[in-house]
Amino acid sequence: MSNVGAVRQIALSAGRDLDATLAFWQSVLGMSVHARYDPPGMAFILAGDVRLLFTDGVPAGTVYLDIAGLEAFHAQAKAAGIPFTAPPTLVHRDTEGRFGPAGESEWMAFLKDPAGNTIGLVERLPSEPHWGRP
Amino acid sequence: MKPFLEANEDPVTVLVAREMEAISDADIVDWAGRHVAPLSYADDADYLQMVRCNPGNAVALGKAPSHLASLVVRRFPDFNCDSAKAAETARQVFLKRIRTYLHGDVEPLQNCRMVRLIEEKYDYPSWLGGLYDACDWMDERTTRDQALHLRNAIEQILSDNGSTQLPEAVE
Repeated sequence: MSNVGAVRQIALSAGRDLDATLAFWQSVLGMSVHARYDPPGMAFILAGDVRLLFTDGVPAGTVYLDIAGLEAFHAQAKAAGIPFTAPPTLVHRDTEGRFGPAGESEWMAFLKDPAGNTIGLVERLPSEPHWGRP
Repeated sequence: MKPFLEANEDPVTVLVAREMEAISDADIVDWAGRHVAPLSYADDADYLQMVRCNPGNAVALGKAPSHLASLVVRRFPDFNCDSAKAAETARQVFLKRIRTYLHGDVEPLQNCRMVRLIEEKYDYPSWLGGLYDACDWMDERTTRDQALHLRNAIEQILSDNGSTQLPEAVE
């Protein structure tokens, strides 16, 4: 029997400038540094119970983060000049409730940090008013 | 890469294209810069704002859709976005957009972003075909190679709409 459990830590690229990468996560996403170790030049940000490790030697990765109010966040960030690689987009209608309450829709928007990591911002919303396949 | 818009489209067509996310804000500015405007709106303040917009300025770029919408409201007062004519314009833009996917380097998500907007705005039109199902779980990381089923769906939609798959076709 396996005792393997939940995700504890994910490694993301620190990029060429760890300060710039961490500043982005702080100023744009509002996620502050939980711990930093210099040397060797690595830092942790907590995303819920999961540690995001920013370090050298790993390729740029992708992480999907929950967000409440995705549309408003996108509008505000865009007005501030933050480039998104994809605006809020409906990617899945969870008709069967496989990943949460049945009938919710899953929306995602994407942006990149200075290290090249892709950040997917995810929000589940109640079904759309006109939802219904012909 | 060849621009999606030819520059000879009228502002109404460009607005329809933008509202269904067939084009980006940068495409609007690029269109305005190449478009030869007739006298009826060549000196319109909103049109000139688009022509003069610096595409490197994200804030200015973000205002392009509202300039375009204002231009249409003022200079094309007969345009009704809920009309059959608007829906036909949307269908033509849609078919051109998905045809471009077959021959260009457009990413899957760029096509799939249109689905919900078209469903909502044009009441689940038959011409959308099976794109909804083909776009399930497409996100920014989905590559063209991973999305061969999207290509198949697009070919089917073009066929069902009596539309050619050739790159330079005009509806």
